[in-house]
Amino acid sequence: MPPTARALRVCCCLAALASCGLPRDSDHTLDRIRGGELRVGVTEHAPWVTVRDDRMDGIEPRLIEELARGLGARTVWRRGAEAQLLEALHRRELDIVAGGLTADSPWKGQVALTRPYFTDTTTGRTRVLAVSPGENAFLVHVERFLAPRERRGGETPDVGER
Amino acid sequence: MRIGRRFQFPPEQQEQRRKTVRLSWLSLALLTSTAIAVYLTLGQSEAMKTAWIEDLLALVPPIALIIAVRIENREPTERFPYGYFRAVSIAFLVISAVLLLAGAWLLFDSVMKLIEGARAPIGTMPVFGRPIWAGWAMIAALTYCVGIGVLLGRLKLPVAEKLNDRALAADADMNKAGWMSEGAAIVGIVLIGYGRWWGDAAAAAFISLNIVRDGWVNLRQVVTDLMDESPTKLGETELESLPGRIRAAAERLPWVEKAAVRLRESGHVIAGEVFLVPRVEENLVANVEAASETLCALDWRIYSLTVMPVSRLDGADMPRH
Repeated sequence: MPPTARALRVCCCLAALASCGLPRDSDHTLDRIRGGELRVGVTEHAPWVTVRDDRMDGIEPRLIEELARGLGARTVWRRGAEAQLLEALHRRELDIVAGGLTADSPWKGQVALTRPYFTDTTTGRTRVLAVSPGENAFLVHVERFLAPRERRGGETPDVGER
Repeated sequence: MRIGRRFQFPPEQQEQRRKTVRLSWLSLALLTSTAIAVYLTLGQSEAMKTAWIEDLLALVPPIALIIAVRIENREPTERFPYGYFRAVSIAFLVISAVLLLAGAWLLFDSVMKLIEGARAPIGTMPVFGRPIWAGWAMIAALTYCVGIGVLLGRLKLPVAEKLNDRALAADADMNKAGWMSEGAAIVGIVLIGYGRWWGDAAAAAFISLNIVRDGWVNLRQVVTDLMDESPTKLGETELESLPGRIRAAAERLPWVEKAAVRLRESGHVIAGEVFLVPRVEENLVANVEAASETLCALDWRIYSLTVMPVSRLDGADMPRH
């Protein structure tokens, strides 16, 4: 076998070996959440996040509850201002933040924004969730969860835009 | 004798120059495609961002070369009686200064990211409707860049050697540094994949060091050129033996007692002066003209050699440094 072909085969084998279970988290977030708890930060922002008698509701908390069920995790909610929650997320004190964030959020360098789960076709604005940066296995898990649930246009009640 | 003549490259070199232009256009096309590939997969990785900027910077030398080949062989004018050969050097001065600054900035940026402990999020990317990890797309784009870089470097070096073209050699060298950087970026992405967040900024720092090195090497070369350095060997700092050979050839002429030579390199060509102490002063004008022609024939790169008869030469040997 010529050396280049052999090198190529070795590379392919290595790549195949390496690709098992990539990416991984820097801080094992996904492993910790599975069967454990999902720490969620929420800012009220109708219709994405609404709070009624201390019960979280709205589009995003419903998605997060479903995500947590899939991971066998229970949700721990923490309410706060957007800046406060996103700073905590940056420090990895939270796992995920919901608050009707958009993809062009000025926080995108500090936290990991997911791919949009909703695109408003009239304004072109896209709604995302935020997860802690560098926890790429968790980020990929959340995005794979959101992908089949992605919506466009006016299917969602468009009220309460701040 | 006519001053301000156009320099005639020998046929073989003309062929190589045409090749240089073709290679530069090829570089532009291929490097644009790699820059687009990296841009599409950019994400929030520091290493990807740095590799992308290096890709863009690698576009500049081929552009400069294409322009230089057009300008440098223009006929000398009343305003620019020495011709336009220096145009190449000026272009390279600017390029290398930009490389040095951009590299220094990117190095600062990535070291700061490393100190801050910034963790690059790399999520998914839809490929044929399925969300796959974007890291794989990045690695694929970077692998394509490595292939292009290796190819371009291999095509350019032999041409640069034949033309004794420092600019093209520097360009080929940059392609090599480029694909090594892209290799480093692949390592950075794989490290992120394994949860080693520092791999990203570390790879970016390595790439910026490469850019700084590119800038420094080019800057040193072009500054020596603008300082009228005596011709040096391609890619080395050692002086060429050409001044010595011209001097020896001059001293072998029967009517010459002693000779001194100084040469300077302007872009692709060499110019300089020859001072001769004549043994006999008969036929001096004809002798000088004949000597100029003989000595010019010693190397194809000699563009203009002024031969000057003098009554005596003191201290013809200059200090080494």
